[in-house]
Amino acid sequence: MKLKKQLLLQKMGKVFVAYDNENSTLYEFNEVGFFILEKIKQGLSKEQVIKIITEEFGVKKEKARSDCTNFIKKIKKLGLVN
Amino acid sequence: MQSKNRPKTYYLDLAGFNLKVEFAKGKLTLLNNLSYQYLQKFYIQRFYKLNHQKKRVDFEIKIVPESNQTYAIERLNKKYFFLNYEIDFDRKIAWLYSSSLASINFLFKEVLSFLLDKNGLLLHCSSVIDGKNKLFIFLGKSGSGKTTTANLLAKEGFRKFSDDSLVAKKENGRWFYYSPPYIEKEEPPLSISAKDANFYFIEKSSNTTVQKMKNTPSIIKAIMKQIWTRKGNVSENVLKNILNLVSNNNFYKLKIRRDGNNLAKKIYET
Repeated sequence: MKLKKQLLLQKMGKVFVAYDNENSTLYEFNEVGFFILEKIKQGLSKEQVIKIITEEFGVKKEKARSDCTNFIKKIKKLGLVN
Repeated sequence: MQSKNRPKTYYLDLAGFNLKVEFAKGKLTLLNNLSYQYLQKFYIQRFYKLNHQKKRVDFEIKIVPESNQTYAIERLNKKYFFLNYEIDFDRKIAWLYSSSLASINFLFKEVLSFLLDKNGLLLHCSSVIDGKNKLFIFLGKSGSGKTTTANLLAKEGFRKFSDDSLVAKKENGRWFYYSPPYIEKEEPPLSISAKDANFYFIEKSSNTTVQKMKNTPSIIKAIMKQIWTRKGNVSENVLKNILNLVSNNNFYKLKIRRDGNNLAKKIYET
């Protein structure tokens, strides 16, 4: 799983955005979504991301797995990861 | 020829950046001399001499008699402009020869955009400043009335700050704004700056109204359409600068009646 090369990630306070230079599109995310994108950018696998979310955000593993799977499905549909 | 006695190196203040302009040795052609005359005529008041050498040089432009490269840039009106200079931004050196005034302006814009990547933005906007140094910046699509708005306010005692673009620069954690240090719509550079500004996204309407914008992502999206970047790409720094600018300033939606009735009053209500 790799983040699209042209995608830039940036945060400021409570604003989390990604900008796709290929089609000049700005996406807004919540803190967890942005966290997942950052981890994908760092080259982590889905299982590694789920493990970190469980630890960092204090959620149950099954909940983290379900949310993470849904989120990845959405960003794949948007073409932000391949 | 008068040019025989001219200094070979100048230092130019480009929106707070120190730009070294050097005329290389070589055969003095008519076109080479024209570059000098243009710079002298339109930028002389912004030149200062070698005693400022201790100040860090941010960028160097060397004017040379000949070059092998030309660049074509497509403009909005579908016309092509061929620019006759070579750029090597990694080495912070640009080479320029036999330039037209338009080419010098393009070059300064490119250099500024390069220098601003770390801590600033080149915005596509018009702006006016009042007697208390408060800056009012008007953003919007082409044809939305940016110039008209600035002209209407100029008739009411505001001073025009910029017509088509503006430099926003972060210095020591604060945003400062510089009038464009190049010719815009045949107006020579003004060399003025401000540190207190409000931003207005304008649109034509039957009534003049102003409303504060609260949705940060929509402001970011709107600002992204109003920035000028080299090659049209947004870098991580530029995106960071946009987020910082948006989170540290006030943005408004300004609907303007054609005759500008109540315009000055409305912007002071913000």
